Amino acid sequence: MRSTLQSFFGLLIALAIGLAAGRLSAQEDPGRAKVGSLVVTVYFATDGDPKAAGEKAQEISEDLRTRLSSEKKLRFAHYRALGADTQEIFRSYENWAQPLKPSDEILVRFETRTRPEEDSISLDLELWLARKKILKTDVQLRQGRPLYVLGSEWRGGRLIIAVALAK
Amino acid sequence: MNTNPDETKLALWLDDELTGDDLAAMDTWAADMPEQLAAREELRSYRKMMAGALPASEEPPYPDFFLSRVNQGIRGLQAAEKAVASSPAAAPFWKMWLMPVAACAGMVLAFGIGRQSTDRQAPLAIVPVASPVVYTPEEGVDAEWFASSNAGATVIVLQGVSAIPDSTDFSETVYVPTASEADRTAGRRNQDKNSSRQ
Repeated sequence: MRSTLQSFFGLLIALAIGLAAGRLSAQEDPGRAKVGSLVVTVYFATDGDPKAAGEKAQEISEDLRTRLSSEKKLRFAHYRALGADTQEIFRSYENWAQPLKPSDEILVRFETRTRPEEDSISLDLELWLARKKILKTDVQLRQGRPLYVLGSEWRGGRLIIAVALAK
Repeated sequence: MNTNPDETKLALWLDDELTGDDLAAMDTWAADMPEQLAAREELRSYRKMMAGALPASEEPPYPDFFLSRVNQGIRGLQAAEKAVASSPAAAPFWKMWLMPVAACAGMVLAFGIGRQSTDRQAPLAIVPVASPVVYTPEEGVDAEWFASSNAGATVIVLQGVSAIPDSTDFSETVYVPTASEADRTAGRRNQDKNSSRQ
């Protein structure tokens, strides 16, 4: 009986020490500190029938439509939002956004390049399409100034991948 | 006839090292040269002072220093003689200040020209627009980058990317964003006046 109690308390102490050490380790890793959030949104842009994107695809606001169509290269008759993902930007670790989850057709890998400023951040960014790294770039994102990538063709239109700092 | 003694003989005479005919000749030569006599007297008084300060059995230190002092005295005397003979008394003072004043004036002039040649409204250095490095590792894929002032965004246009098969149905797998999420990139636009293309 006594040895059972000793084993039980010993196990409890070991668990407590393990949890404390793990928690301490997580807290002390400055590389995992959040320095911002990134939102990656995929839009379907087409001059044809927007219903090709599916019934679940969202219409976008007039403001965004005006913004996209003001640029000749991004000008289409219709736009639909297919998916979005918001992920944290870590101080020194990479992170991934998967805007069409659970599909991995479009993935965005990103990590900071320099110390973030108050309303801007410089990122190393990769765009993966169909599990292939298609684009690698370094980009400085500012609040209200996203990155638009005109990407793959699909169902008579093009996919626009928008990468922006989350507000 | 040149009666001036050479430097070695003059130095020996100043040091009271000459004897006999050489000493007599030098004394005759220096009789009507008060500067040389004054210089010899100065050196004599200097030697006396040093002899009083140092033990008699010990040689004065730094013989090179004394020799250089002697030579310096000789050069100074000769220069003074030439100056007295060839130029008015005010010329050395004028010449002494001419070079520094001219140098300062030149610096001020150059500074003024430099300031006038620079547009005060222009930045000191041209800061290039931060253009991203764009790399497309896939064969046949090209990317064009430009900053769109109209869209208030950075735009990359990919060419040569394989089309996604129409059979791929995102409506079955997609996380459909809410209306606010769908418009997250529709925030305020930066009114960039310039649009640059790569």
